[in-house]
Amino acid sequence: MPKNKNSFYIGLSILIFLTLFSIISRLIFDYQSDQQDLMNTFSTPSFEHLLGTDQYGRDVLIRISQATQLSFVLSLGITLTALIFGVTLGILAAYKGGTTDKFLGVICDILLALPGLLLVLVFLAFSPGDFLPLYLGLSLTLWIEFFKVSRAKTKSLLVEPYVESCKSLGFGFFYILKKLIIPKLLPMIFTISTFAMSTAIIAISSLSAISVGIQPPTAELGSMIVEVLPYYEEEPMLVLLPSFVIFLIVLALQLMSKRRDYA
Amino acid sequence: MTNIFYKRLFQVIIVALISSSIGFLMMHLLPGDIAMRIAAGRYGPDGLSAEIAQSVRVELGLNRPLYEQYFLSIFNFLKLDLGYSLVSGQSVIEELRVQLGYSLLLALSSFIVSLFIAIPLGIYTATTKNRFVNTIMMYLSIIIRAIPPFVLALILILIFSIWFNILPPAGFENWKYFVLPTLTLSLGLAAVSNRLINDSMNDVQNSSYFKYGRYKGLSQNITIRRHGIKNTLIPLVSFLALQSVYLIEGVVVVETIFAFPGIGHALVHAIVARDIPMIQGTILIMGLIFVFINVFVDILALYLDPRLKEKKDA
Amino acid sequence: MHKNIKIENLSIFSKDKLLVENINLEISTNKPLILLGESGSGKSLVIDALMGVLAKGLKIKGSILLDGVDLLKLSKKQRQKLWGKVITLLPQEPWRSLDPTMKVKDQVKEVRKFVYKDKILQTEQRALKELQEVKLQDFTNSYPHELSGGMCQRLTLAITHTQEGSVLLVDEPTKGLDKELCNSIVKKLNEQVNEGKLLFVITHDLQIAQNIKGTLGVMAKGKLIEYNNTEEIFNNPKNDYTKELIYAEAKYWNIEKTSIQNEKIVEVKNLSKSFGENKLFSNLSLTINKGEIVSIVGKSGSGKSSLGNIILENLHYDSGNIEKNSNYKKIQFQKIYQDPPSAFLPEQILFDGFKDLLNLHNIKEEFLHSYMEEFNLRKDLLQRKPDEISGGELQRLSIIRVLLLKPIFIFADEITSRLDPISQKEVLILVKNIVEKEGLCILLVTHDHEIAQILSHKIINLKNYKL
Repeated sequence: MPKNKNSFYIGLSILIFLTLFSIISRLIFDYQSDQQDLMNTFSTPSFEHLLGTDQYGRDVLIRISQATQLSFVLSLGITLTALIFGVTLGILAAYKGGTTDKFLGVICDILLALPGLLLVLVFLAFSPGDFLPLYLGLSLTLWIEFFKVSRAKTKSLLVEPYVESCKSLGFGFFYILKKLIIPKLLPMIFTISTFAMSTAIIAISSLSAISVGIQPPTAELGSMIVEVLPYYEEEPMLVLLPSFVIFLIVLALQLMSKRRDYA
Repeated sequence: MTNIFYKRLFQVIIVALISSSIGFLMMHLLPGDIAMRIAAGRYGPDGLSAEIAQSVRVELGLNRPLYEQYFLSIFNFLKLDLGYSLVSGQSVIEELRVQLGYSLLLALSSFIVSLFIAIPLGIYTATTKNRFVNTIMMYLSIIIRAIPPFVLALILILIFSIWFNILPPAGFENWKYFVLPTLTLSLGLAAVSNRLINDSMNDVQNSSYFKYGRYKGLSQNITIRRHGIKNTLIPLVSFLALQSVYLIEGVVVVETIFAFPGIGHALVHAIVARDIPMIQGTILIMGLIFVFINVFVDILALYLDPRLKEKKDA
Repeated sequence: MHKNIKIENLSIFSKDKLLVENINLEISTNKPLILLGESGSGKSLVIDALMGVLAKGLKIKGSILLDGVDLLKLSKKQRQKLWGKVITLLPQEPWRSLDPTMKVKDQVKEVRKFVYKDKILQTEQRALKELQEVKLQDFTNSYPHELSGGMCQRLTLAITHTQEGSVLLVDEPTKGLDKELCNSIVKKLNEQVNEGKLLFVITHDLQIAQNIKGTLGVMAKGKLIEYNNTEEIFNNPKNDYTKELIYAEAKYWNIEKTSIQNEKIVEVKNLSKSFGENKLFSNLSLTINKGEIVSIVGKSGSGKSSLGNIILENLHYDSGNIEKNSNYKKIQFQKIYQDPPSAFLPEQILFDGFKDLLNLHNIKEEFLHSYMEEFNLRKDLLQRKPDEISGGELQRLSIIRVLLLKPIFIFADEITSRLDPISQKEVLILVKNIVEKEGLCILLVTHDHEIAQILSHKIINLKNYKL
């Protein structure tokens, strides 16, 4: 088993580093990410442009920080949405049982009929390149894991003797929720969240890379890689940098997730 | 048993409904006049005129009331009349037939190759005394897993097509074009499954029933063979369902990057070109394949783990 | 056939603690050895040492001589070679040691096929014969999860029969099983002794210790505190702890039953309940008065707990009528659970749970502390979590928790079956005393007929209510 405590902190530090990098570089330099300077394309790193410029003379440092921020914010937003809906509905389904449970189960089955990316593509088919279908599609896909796990765990907890004992001693559902269910769910939710975020980031960048996701000129790591591919031989860094950033973020998130990393 | 059957049947219906509805919704929700665009696509912008657009409209039934159109589209679906591609003009079914073949070949070989890599590797790292090998494989797996499939694809293109120039990067003309896409997908799959098999094998070796087998006097090899393998594979089977998700998603991305002429590539192109019938067709086929894989996995799980038979019926 | 095992000056220790201190034991043909002790006494470590499977990080000193050969001086491989052929093991909680994906018959066949290399037809016939001996012939093609605990025990016994080792190590043969199975297990083990095997049993069960006559060793906290012939020890125990242990059995209790008062608390009329196809009981009628203790006895799974749960409205019944004395509120009907830790929120500090309860019902904290004193519980126990204190102490806290609500009826669902004999006696006598003192009534579920006889005024055997 990989060293759990250490890997968590390594992952966390990578993420903090990237966040700070993203914020600070934009405080220091005030270029726009789509600010072109066609006289100055493919320049080598200098004091003006710490990481050089790309094929349109745009500052690479700024583009990468912008893109990193985009990835973080978007995937975090998606994960939080999925989390809130998934966990609330999961606990609800477990507590109420009966028709509520069956109904939510049916919705899950519907969403599970198509694998995640396919579902997102269905949404994107209506307006490729837009944020809304991306956000909606990914939230709907990632919601399911939160729901299933919260529901299963809550169900198993509710049949334990100590829950029956609490009830007969006079405590209500909210006491049990606060003192038992939520503390037990938190570690699992955390693990799912880190995994969900990394799935979201990979999905977002993959979709941009195949031209149905976020499009240029918005700075997005996936599209940046693909844009610059033809110029690979002259400027390898332009391809490697965004790839490396995605790799770091995903690696960091996976290091932070404590569970056995394959489900 | 019957519960799973109904659930999967339900999912098949859902897939059919979703794909047929997409077409319908897209026809009517997208901006611009569909009939015009279809006509432009078919006859070119020069051949476009109001009469031609009108004839397209009538042909596709776009002038009929909405609910009639919806039922018509579902009816066509059931007839397996998926229409014609707005881009190539060919019958959707014909195109899909060809592309499906390519994609299935890609998916199946990737899966098999990944098993060839993962199973021996997983079992070896779990049973060997050499902890160093285990640690290396663990780190290697973590790293490969953190690389998005499209980046992995680009890296492999870089190594084999550009540096060493021994394999072609895109398209499909002979078996060589097959190697890199397969390699990309199988490496991604194997990176995860070899760890799964390793962990599962470790769990089994530490279990009470395994130890009891040894205490009975059975040798290590015999105990692994009789008590280890089946129990190790059980968690792998439920993981198979997840692998199929990765495969289908991977197929879409990898085919596009490698310009591999499969269904995934077709879907992406269709989305970009707004080729509605093609979008419908590809989603339908991929969805159906996914449900079938799930059914297969369910059956396999029931076969391997006798405890599930009771749970499902209860 | 080996004739003798001598354990000499055996000590086992971890980095910072001495776990087993200098014990000397002997097993010979027709003189089996029973090692009796509670969990934590060190007896499991002794059997691990004999098998050669002590956990990593534990060190061992002394010698284990099998007909003069010191097993501790052999290499790991040499000791593993003895498994199944010289030293055989009947594992603890056998349902855990059976492969869930393999049929019963195949698990029995394995030994003859792979260890003794018998021919296929022979192994098949032998397996069927052994399964017949233990009355499992109808389950040859079943899977372990389809068998009850007792049946799994018989299965592993059948497997042991196919082995030809001269040493039989038995690890807690009655743990997790009904008391009634005890006799058949004792019988089977005595048969093994008669066949000349060197038998070594570790157990916490006094019945087993008393009925397998040979040598008895009593262990507590890693030390061998008494070691003599079985009969000697039971007739004339010398050590105080041994005395407590032996006299903890219900037949030695010297108590009087509580007096019944003239106030009906619960009246059950013609009650029937089934679980699916399983008819638990029908037309059961019962009255419980204040001050009365009623016992329900029966085998596992017979539905003993259902009656109590029905009275407490935790479970629905099929037909009949239940009336509870309307002078008392619903919250005055309470339950105490079989497994003490599972009645408490697992990660909650006990004091916090009690505080919440006191606040919820506006009860003064003094009541809690006075009960703690009365039941002989140290104040600092409350600062721990449920899994950090002993079963006996936790069960007493459960009783206090219920008493704070001024109950009139307590459903005591096998409240001592997870406790050691000494704690069991303490808790049950305590319960009897509070019936007198606080004026309540108890519905007691137990599998121990002796306890039922000594404590209760009425005994209900569910066998009598099955149609």
